Amino acid sequence: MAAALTLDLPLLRVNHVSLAHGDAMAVSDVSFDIGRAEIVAIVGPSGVGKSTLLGALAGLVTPSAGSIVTRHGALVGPTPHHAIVFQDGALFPWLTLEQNVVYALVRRRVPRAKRKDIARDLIRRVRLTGHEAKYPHELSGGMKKRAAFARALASDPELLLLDEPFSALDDATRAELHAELISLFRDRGIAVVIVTHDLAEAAALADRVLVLEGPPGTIAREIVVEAPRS
Amino acid sequence: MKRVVPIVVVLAVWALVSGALESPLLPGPTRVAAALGASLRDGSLFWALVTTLLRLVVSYVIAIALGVIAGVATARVEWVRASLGRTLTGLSGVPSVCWLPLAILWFGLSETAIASVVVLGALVPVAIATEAAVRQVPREIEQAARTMGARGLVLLATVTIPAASMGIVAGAKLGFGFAVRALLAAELVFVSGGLGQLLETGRDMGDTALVIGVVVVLLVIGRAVESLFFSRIERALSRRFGATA
Repeated sequence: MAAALTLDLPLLRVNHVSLAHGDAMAVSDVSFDIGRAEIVAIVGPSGVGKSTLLGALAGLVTPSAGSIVTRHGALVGPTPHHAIVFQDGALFPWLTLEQNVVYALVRRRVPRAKRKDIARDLIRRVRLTGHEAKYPHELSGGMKKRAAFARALASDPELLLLDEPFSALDDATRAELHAELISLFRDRGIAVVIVTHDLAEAAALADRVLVLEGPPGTIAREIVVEAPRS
Repeated sequence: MKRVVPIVVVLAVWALVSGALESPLLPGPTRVAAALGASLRDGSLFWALVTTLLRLVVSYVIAIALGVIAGVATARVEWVRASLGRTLTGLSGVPSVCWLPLAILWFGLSETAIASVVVLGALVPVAIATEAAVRQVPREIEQAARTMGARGLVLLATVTIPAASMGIVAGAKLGFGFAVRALLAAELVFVSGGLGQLLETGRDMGDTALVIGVVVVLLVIGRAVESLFFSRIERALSRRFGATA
């Protein structure tokens, strides 16, 4: 019975979640599901609690009310099943690109003999071959984003959480990354939650858009995107 | 060449001034070199150097370890910050030699007494620098590592401390200066071999050349540690972090 229940569950279910930020309420009574391989965008103005909500989906922020349930049970802390890519990539500056990717593989307990091949394959997929030995400060803004995606994918996540991943990029690089990454996530069957303040970007990338209003952030609208994505 | 010229200039000025004064209180470079040569031949300089360096290495390593632990704990544990944070700032103003009477009362006239003074002297700057460096580690870097499965000591060892390494090394460099000062002060007060005792011997015998010679040896040790150890580490870290060396 329990197994059937697990199979019926979406990848992730957010049940009446509220999130506090200090003394203030950042997000109030939010509920939604994320399906397998689904791409969901969370949009809203600055300060509405988008990033706090993303932090909660990563297990980095504990809900003050409600619960987040995954196929593996209640989300009570960070898990490698949910990888996060921050706005600036949050690459480890003391490690090379390849070492950054290998770090995630080490945490995943991938055997030492396989790490280099897997890391090189992920780096190839994000089109950074030839830059393996470079440190993050030697990479351009777009390359850093790609590197952060490669590292996130090394955790073999079911859900990828992207916090304004395409901000601070020029239009050409942004468009290029949109197309490449969506194809990459689709190929691997990874569900994605993207936080952005750009509604056009959300519509271009996502199957579904959750519009947050506030503060405190609440879901004002849910838009299912019918048009084919980029 | 750029490094040699200032040394030659200092030696030349020193030789000129000492030659003009002709005072036993300011022997020239050749007399100082002769005094050092003599103490090398009779073994006193060698054993003093070995004694001081051994004390320095052991005490400094302990100070680094304890300083990093104290700094990380102060940065990350609320009650430690509340209790130890301001104490560390206060301790930074206490000259390390002030600990010597207490150390002698606690440990007697022993190596432990000297080591404890050096450790206390070097620990404080290391802890303060480590605390500041750890608090400046971007939150997202640690959060990213946590989502990859890093926790507790693994997170600390593989992410927090490497991310704070430039600040920790700056504190360690500062701490080395404090350690040398504390050790020499302890060796001067608590005569027990080492370069401090050699300085005291030179003073007792009115041998200014030996006293200046020991100071020169200390200068050389400081310079050697800087170029063989700290400079290399700082260059390596700067290359990784993209900071200006």
